[in-house]
Amino acid sequence: MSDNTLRLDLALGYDHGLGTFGEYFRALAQGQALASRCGTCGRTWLPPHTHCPEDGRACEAVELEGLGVVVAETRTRTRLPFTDEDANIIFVLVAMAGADNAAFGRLENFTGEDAAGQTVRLSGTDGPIGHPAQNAVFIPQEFG
Amino acid sequence: MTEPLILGGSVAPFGRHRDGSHWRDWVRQAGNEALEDAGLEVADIDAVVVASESDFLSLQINPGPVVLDEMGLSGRPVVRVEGGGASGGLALREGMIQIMAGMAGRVLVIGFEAAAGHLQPSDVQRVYGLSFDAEVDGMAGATAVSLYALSIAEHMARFGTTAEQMASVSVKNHANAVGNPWAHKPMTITIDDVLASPMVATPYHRLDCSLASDGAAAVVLAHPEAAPKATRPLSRITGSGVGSDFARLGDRAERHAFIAKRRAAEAAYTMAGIKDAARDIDVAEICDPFTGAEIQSLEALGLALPGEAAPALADGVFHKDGKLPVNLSGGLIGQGGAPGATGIAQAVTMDRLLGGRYRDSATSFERGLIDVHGGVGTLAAVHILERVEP
Repeated sequence: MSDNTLRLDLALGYDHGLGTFGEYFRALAQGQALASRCGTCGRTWLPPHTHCPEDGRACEAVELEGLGVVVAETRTRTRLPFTDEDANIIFVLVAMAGADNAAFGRLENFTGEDAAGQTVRLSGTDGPIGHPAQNAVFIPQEFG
Repeated sequence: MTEPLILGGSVAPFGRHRDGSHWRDWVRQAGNEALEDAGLEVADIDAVVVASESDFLSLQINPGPVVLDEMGLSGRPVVRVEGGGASGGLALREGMIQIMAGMAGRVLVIGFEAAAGHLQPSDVQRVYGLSFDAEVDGMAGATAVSLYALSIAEHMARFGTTAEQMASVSVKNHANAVGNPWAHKPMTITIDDVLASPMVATPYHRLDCSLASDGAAAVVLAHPEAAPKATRPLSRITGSGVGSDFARLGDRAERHAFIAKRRAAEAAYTMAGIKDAARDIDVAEICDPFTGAEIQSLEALGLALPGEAAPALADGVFHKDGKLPVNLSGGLIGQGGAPGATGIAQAVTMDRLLGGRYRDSATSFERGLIDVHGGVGTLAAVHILERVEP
């Protein structure tokens, strides 16, 4: 580092409102898939949208069964936001039964080579998390 | 329709600047060199557009007036534009709009980013995790590389795109950066080198990934009636398009494809009167934050059919001596990625390519495309530049 450089450490503490996501996050912590459905076009979203991204109409909350199929995976070593430890993580996109989109989350308890096509269940987690969105954890259905 | 001219431009080199310099230094360098290249003085500039992606990186909110002061342009109208990795391209469009609307005759468009030497890499990764739907995906752990990896995984599954084909993008772009004085990572490497580099997020190895860079770039735009008499070939911007897609990758029907870029390209091609991009574009600078993203971009831009970009790349179609040279600068992978500056640096490169004065090359082209995006191809800006004889 150059002698013309200062080291500055910036710590920011946010009292961060969750807005309408609060209900979704509380359900997620219980392993429940609280989606939203557009009253006009019928599209169902998990994670939810308060208003349909397609047509702007208000959505209503619907609970899905919590089962889905992995459509893509990536394996990486990283640290979840606001946590302290790096970990080996499988991130997945899961097409949830009853939803028209795919949900991003982590896959746990999976030992195979490729998770694509694997049926999974939304489980939540007992592990350390830094934000309630990190409860988006899936496990193979046979563990459900 | 008024087609703004690019009178000149320059780039303050991309890299990891640990030399004690400040982003103001890079801005001043790029801006002053752009004015010199354009043959203008500070007093000739009517308005300024500033692009930078994140105040977390620069530690400067509202950078516009600061840039004006650094350039001796205090008092001019200034607009700051931000659209993630598309910021520079969006700033170029904002400068165009001001000229086409008759609000300014000569506009300095200048972008910068302190993305490499300022924060620790892990902190940069955390900041960029907010580039997507931060509350849902970012807080759940999504990083740029993990989301791009999920997107290309579906491309691989659908089309059989291989790690070797993606590695060929890295080989090409790092090699193209050799001899580029603005480049962050010029290297001569092989496909085996890419595949042997550490895995970051399957299927992406370290050498599949671009680097976050420090740097700045600037171009001077002018209304044709406000431009000095040209003594060399210039370029004019004949097409501009912006497109968007769902912020969450998982919400998209085609997660393997960059639909926002397809929309942006269609708008730019319509404006420029281009019917067949693969036939009508001579050279392109394309957004390649990851090797697979260049493949996805080529297909979204219509420069290759869906599923055919990867084999064409491996066959050399997009190499510097190929039918359609792509990323002669090295792109983000070779030249580097300083988000606020990238789209503007592309315009500088393309202007010089069209004018036959890029680096030591005397080769000139008639029509080129530049393309940047933010998010996972979420917000895209595409521009068409054409050569103008003096």
